[in-house]
Amino acid sequence: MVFILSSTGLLILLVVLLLVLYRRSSVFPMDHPEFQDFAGSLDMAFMIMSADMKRILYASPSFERIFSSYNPDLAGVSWMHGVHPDDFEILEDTVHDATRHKRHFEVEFRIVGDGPDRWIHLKGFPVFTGKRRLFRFALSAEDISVRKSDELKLVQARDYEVTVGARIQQALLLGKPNRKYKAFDLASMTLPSQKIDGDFIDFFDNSDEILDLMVGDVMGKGIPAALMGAAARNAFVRARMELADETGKAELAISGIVTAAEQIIAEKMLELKTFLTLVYGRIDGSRNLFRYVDCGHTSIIHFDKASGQCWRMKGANMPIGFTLSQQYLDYTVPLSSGDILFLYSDGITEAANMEGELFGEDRLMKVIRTSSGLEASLLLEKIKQITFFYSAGDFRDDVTGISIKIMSKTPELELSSRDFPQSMSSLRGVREFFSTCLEDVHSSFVNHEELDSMILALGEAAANIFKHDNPTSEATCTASFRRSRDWIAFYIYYHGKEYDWQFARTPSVEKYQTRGYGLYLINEIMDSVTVSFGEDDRVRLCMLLECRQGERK
Amino acid sequence: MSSELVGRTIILTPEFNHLDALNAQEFTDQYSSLVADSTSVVIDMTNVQFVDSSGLGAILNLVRDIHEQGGKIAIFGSQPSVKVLFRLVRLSILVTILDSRDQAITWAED
Repeated sequence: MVFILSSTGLLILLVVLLLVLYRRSSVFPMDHPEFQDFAGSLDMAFMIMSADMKRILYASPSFERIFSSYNPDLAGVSWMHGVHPDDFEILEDTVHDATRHKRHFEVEFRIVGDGPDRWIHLKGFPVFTGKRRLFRFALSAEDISVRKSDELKLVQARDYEVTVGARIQQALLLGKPNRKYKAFDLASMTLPSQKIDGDFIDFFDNSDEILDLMVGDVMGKGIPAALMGAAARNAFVRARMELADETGKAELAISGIVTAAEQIIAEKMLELKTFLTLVYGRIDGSRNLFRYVDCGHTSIIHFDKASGQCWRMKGANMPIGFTLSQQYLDYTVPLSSGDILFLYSDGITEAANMEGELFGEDRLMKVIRTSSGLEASLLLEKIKQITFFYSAGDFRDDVTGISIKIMSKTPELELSSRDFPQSMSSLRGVREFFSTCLEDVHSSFVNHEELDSMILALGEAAANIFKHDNPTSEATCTASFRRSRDWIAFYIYYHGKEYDWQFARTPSVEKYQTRGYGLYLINEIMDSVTVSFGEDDRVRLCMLLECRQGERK
Repeated sequence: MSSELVGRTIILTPEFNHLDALNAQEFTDQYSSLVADSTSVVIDMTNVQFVDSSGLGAILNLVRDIHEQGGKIAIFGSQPSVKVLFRLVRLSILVTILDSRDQAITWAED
């Protein structure tokens, strides 16, 4: 006789003992009052069943209590008729599997009867003869209905919280674009995590081709963060309305909108010791421009079709609620057909895999670059799926994203690029390159003085790069010139480290200050200067001059 | 850089086409020996087509040195592109900026 078992506790051992004794002879006193008392005092029932699991050969006194809704016929009708139909298959498979592999098993299932279903935790093992023929099953059963009921309530409560949280978020925090736009394709998504938080997005329609949008994230989690997110969103709606009334203008400056919203909400945030990060952006499809105010939010990813690369764009403002009366800086970058903008919450980049490694901006940029041919909604879906699988579906934070693909038909008039060694010896070459590009620009666009000042600023930019970023002797940088009817853009792509191009304190001639004029001149001369960071330590410096219909502003 | 003494005034003439990060130090090295103890200096910028912030820094070093010696300094002959820089940084607060050599000599004799 062979016993194949993997016992984990005393009760299973007891069953084994019983089984052995039972099989040896009929001398085992199962009906002995002392044994009956002992067996009846246990919460568990233990049973011996036939090899087909249909007949109960022995059941301890607790069996009837545990299986109270089932009236077992010890004479032979299969007790398995009482098993809930939905659980029958799993029970049968578990037993079959244990028998095949000659090992113990554990399974949970429901017993149906007149009253409520009862949850049973069944442990058992098959007993084989010396010829390895299945002989009996030794089993223990425990009523786990109370625990299961508690678990179920917890799951229901959690589901309820998540469902209600998602509804609150949908209603109070997550706006949607009102319509489709000719100049760009737009899609947005939010995947709520297990807990509601303060992510919010909104869209404000300015005209047929101009859309304002914002992505914000309030510090913290739960209802307080969500309420503050709703208040912040509302502050922006109010700020826009009040500014429009005051100025009578349809197109408001985005830094003005953020300033006005800050005045409404920042004091409260300081009192409550909370803050929010935000990107407020404006896509101008008529002029192919993207303007943004970044208040410490996650980077904006810009896939630039011309360079074939993704760039992380940041601003220099602090989060709203850090301080009062910030001077918000805004930035503008040109766009072209095929470009992609991606705005998102940190739920995407901070999605973690099993090892705790974050998804990160580099992976996100790679996904966007390699999927740049997709339309906005498909790109968003792809990012959602990749981050979902990366984190095994366990998002710590809400995952919020807006993807915009530029489809403008406004042509660019010029595009010219040239590579240079990334060293000071290229300084005059870069200046001459841009100077040559500007020679053909119509005189109404820029006068001589503006032309001279542009060359001055571009030379300063190149000198700054060559002074501060000279990583290897082989490194090259690329000077690039682009022009449309509404802007002139000068780019320098180079290898380098993060450098604060915005630090442009006005230098003091009176004090014979001999340094610090370069950044001041660049920011003074150009309408917008943005520095973006790409893959492989590439940096993009973009300097922009705006005009309207070929005329300087 | 060449120099010419007119009365008590030294006229410095940089012979660079560009005064920028590549040769600003050269400018400083050259003027140092020419203006020692001078109290009246004029810079003739006629030859210089372009000045950047490094070149400006070199000019400001010269201006400071002359002022520290109790002297005065003027600039004439600036090309339009150079004037743009001087205007943007408000150099005229420190230095007299004139159009011609004659104006500069008259200014120096005052």
